[in-house]
Amino acid sequence: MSQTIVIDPVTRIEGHAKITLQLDDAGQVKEAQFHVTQLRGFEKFCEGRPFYEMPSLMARICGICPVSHLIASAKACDQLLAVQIPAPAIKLRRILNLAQMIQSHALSFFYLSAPDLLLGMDADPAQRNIFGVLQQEPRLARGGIRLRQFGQQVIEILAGKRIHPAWIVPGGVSEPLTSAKREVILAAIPEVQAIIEQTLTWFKNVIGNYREEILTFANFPTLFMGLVNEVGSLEHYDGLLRLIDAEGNMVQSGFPAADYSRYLGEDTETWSYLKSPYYKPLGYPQGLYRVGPLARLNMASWCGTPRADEELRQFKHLSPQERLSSFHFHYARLIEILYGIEQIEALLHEPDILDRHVRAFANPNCYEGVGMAEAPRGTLIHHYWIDEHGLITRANLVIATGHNNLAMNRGILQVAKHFVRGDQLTEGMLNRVEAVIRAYDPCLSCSTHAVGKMPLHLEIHDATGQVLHEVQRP
Amino acid sequence: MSKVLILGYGNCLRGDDGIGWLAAEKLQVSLIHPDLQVCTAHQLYPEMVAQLRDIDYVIFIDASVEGIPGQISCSHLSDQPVSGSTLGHTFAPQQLLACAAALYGRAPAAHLYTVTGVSFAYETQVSSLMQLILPVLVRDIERLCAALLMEASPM
Repeated sequence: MSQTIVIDPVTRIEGHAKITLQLDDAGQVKEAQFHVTQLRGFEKFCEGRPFYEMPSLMARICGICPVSHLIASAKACDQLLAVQIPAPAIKLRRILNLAQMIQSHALSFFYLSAPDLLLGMDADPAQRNIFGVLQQEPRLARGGIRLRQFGQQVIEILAGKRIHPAWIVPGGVSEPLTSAKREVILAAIPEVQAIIEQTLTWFKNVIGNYREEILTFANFPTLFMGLVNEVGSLEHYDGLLRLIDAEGNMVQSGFPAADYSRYLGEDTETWSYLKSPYYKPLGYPQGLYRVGPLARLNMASWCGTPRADEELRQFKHLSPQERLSSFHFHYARLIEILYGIEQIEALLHEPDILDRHVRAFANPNCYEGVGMAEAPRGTLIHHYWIDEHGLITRANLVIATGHNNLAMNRGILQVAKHFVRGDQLTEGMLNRVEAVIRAYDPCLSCSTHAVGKMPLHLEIHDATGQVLHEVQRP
Repeated sequence: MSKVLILGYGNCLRGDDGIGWLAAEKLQVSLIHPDLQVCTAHQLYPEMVAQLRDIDYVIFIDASVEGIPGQISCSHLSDQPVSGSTLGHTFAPQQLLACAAALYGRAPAAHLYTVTGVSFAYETQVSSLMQLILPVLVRDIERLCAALLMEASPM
């Protein structure tokens, strides 16, 4: 008798999602769907607003990665102005972007996923959370807190506040960096670099415990997409958008932000509010691809900073099969944190970083602008149209998490087929289904902050809809 | 090294939820002492645990939906782990204290001041009742701080 398993969080305020698993008559998982059940509406309610409000408006999309939206939005507005951004401003924007990546990756790894990695996927949910990590590995927890704090402090030092800062503006940034502020950031670099290096050492020692998860956590061939620069190194702020296949072969060598709609389509499904971008030449849904840290590291030839380059070399020594596993988003995040710290230090030593000319001014000179940047979770695109008064007439946002939607759905199916048994459901099985989503670190993490003990209401229905079995986790 | 930390937190765009932030802003002006630190925040988050490491006393200030509107409550907090803790959109003072105890082997003594709000609608101003209560709240905390600072640095 076929059955449906519904994993539906019962207590969420922002970022709501549920998972449906359809079992066949033998009790094996046949289908899986990842439903995003909230509607944001940003693309609509910004219509009629002055374009220069967009960075501040769009930053409110997210409380974890507002800087990403600030940057993509400001870059779109830069195009509307058709100005050349002063070089120091670009570097300062890069620093802010990297700081946000550090704190966001630290949140994902240490707060959300470390409980699984340290305590085990089957550990008691009452312990499988940040407090369990604090008790079992206080040094690891302290390190994670410090890394997140560092990223947020850099954001606060540069931009005035940690969340929804207004410092990045069309044309550049609103204020230059002072020498005193630079010294404060530089003083923290040795400590945080040591922390991430210790964490990488710890992680590489424990991932051998997760062979099964590595093989089954959304481990399948996909395209990868991300920004590349002219030298092929890791890139988060600018460049062209490239796609490669699972073997690393070039699929699309690189196109500018303005051309994204020629290569990327967006489809919708009736069971989710999250759009499903896809690579148009391969059609929907065959054109699925992945973005984010795993994609970026699979694409980059090197990072461009010494210690991160060494870690990337080790990462590249993983087997091709392993490098396809979404489990290794975690590994990639740690390498990106290391890169971010090294790169922030390098940028702060640039000779023009304290330059006072950090903004170009103009009235709108174009009616359409596209801004693109790499957010912690992947490529982020903001596309605006304005009228002759500079008012927004239309906006299209392609959010990083959306790029991974098709892959997340396929990933849930793969992990559920391997681990879930309808006739003997265990909490550990559910946790693995959640964990594959956590590996992607979707912005829906707003709805999955409950590390180790996500409130779940699980129902098993028979073909007539009658509830056969029910499990609730408060 | 500050021995007393005041943390006023809340969402200033949600009416009376901003009372903690407002109170802290007043205290930043009225209380100047080398052993005192006053901070504001939208909410409590785990990274704040680093601020608690070298603190003897922490005073949290927040709005509440419990009780009679305008009611000021003050309670002493424990650092014992809160059962069923999950990291979500709410991170309680007790969880912060428990983090400090787990990480550093100790947590500061803590008081939580709450004021029962009238309205938490989308507004940038607190209600008129909160505006009346604010000076009373500030005065209460000033008195507590004076006593704590005397205790921390006896003359």
